[in-house]
Amino acid sequence: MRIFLLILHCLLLAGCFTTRLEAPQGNNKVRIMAENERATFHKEYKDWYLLSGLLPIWRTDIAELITKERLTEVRVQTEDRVSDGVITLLTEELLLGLYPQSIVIEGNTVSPGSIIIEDTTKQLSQPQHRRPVNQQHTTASAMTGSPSAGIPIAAPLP
Amino acid sequence: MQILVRFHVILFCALFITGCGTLYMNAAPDSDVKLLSRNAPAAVKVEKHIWFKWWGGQPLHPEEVHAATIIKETGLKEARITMKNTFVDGLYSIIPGIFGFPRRTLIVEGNREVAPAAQVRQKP
Repeated sequence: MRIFLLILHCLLLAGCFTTRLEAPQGNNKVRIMAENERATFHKEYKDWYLLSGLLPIWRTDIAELITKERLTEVRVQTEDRVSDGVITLLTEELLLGLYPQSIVIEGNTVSPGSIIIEDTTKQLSQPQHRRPVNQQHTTASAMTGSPSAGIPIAAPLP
Repeated sequence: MQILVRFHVILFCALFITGCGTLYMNAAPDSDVKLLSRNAPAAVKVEKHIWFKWWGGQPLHPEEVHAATIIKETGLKEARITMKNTFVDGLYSIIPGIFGFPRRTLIVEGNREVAPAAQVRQKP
């Protein structure tokens, strides 16, 4: 009986959690990046769960983040760190079962020029420095990591 | 007093069972894999259980912690990736976890061809 209770307790302490990498609804242009590609966007988040993962109290919505940050390329890393384990250990003593999980989101954002490409009706009303640029410039901007590298000095009008 | 000691022993074990471990949700180098949304249909689903050693310090098979491996093997052109620590993972981790072998689950869903609807949307 004691062993059964011990196993049951350990099982509860092991916890359950989920991290999803998916695109926002209606956006099928986001590309999944490779490990060796350079990323200009880098942020770390923590997901929090209560009661062995049964109750998510804070979960990072990656799809929402992609929309918010205008990411066109993304990759994610989920990390269970020793510090997360220590937090779990300490909160178990208070019978809370708080489970943190670290998530690293990396990607590349849309350069100002490529935003205009998506909506041609707005092109003419844009100021001169936001003239449309071709996709090569956008990619070059993302690869170099310089926000200004994608904006051509003299882009042709459509 | 004895109960308190036992309680702390269990908690200490829990720290080991929980374990560490890093999973990478990425694609293979020089590939163009698009990200699928949650409700988009996926023809392929691969579920892989990843084992770690040294309490999550190192994966048993380093290539398995990358979703890129599954994407490359299955030849997916669009995919969505899920990392899970399921109830079953917890169950499996009870005994091996104490000895430093926690388990995680990596799920990759996707299509080998870009959906026609998506192709139309991509046109300017």
